[in-house]
Amino acid sequence: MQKIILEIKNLSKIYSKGRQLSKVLDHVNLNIYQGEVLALLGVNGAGKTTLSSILATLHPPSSGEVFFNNESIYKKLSQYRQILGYCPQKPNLDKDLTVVENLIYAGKYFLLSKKEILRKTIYLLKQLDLEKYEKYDVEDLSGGCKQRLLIARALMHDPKILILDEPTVGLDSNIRRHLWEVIRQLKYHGVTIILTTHYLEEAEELADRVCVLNKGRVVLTESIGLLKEKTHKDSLEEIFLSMTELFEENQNTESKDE
Amino acid sequence: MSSDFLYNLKTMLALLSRDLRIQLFNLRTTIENTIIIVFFGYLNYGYFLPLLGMKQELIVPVFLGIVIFMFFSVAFRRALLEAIDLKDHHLIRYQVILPLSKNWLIIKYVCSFFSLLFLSSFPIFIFAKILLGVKLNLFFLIRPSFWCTYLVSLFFVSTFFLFLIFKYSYDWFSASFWPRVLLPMEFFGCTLYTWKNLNLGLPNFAKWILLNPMTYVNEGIRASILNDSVNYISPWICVLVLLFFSLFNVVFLNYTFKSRLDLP
Repeated sequence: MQKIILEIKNLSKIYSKGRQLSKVLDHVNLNIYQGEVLALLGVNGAGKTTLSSILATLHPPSSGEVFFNNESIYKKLSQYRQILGYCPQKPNLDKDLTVVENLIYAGKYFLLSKKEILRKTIYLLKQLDLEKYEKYDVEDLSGGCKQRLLIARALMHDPKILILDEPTVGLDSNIRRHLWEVIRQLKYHGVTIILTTHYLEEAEELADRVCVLNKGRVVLTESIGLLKEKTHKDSLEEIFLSMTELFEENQNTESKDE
Repeated sequence: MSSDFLYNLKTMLALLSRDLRIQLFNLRTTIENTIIIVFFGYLNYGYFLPLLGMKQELIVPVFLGIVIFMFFSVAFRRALLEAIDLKDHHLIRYQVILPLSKNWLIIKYVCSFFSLLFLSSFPIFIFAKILLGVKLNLFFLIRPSFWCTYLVSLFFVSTFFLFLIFKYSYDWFSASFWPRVLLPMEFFGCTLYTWKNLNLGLPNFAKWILLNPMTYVNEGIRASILNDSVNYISPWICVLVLLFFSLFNVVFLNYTFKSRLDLP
């Protein structure tokens, strides 16, 4: 049986804008297993980015808990962050540094030795095909290069859990496929990956399981194979589209009832 | 010392080394720009206005007021960059998920702001000596009162600006901070006059001016540089008052940092 690496219990997030309260996550319960690739799916505003940012400790939940190896991540926040890599949707690279400096400083922030920083930098520049851009300023990089650099930076300290929030959005298919290969290699090396994506093809290619969110609630968590078997559909896209139609029907019924 | 403390300290120093590297890289331009502004300040207050009748004994204190206002000007430019990062670049969102406690990250921000102000303002005192000649001697550099007032002033300015960046939106900060906060602080903060002169002419108004922390920055640095506690507010009083204001800044900074970034 696979070991649970992250256990999410009754997680809710409420944002307040003036007097209005908006519930973005609503009692989310989810187990994430060691070494798996879990894809978080859902339409815009479903709560995928909020969930991944809470798991990345960027924001706190309004209620609920996240356990790492049976211990609340908030009790040992620093230790949890040491095993975590996070690539946000919007690149937040250091624009005052070059590509290689971004990696070197990332290593310094995690207190790696000089030897280790050098080894990891060379390895990641090669693995993510960034060697020829190493002296480039971040501003001069294309969107695909920035995304690859974000992933490289997140991998400098060998995280056990990697959170990728829409890593391939807006990238052309060649670069996307290259990133897929990188993600497969990471999975092969035992990294647990939480992948937020809009591309169902991407989830189907990479994920062991999918978690579908709708209006902040988990509506489904299942392995792709089992999901196809249960729904008698050939692709994740078909399954997702039929689910979306179902959500819309339910929403219309709820509106009429009100 | 606990391992947590050492880990936080080392991570913070790594972040700070990055900031210092960038500051030193840009230092020449920063100093050149500041010197140009100070030079025009000198032309105005050290040459043209005395020609038009400004008292000679006011040249040095008023010029020092202009030099001190440069701290605020440099701090404002740096604060704008931080405000842009908060709005668009989000490098801070990378830093907040590093294995470093929130308080240590705040300390890093204050130290970084402080070092920038120090690096870009200290050479101006030497430049001021060149411009003012015999009117200003460099003995103030060995006076503890100067170093205390100067460093506490920089600490106050750093914490003040950081608190405001996290408190207000970029749009407000970039458009309204200069006319609504900085200029009134300058005008009502003894930049172009001394507090004791003002107290002789407008005593009631002078009492209100004491509520402005900039008064203590200006008066304290003037008193310590000119070694004169008779014509200016004592530098040690200024240090105490500025520490008191800085304490408020730190408390509010701690609160606004966490609430603006919505941190766990």
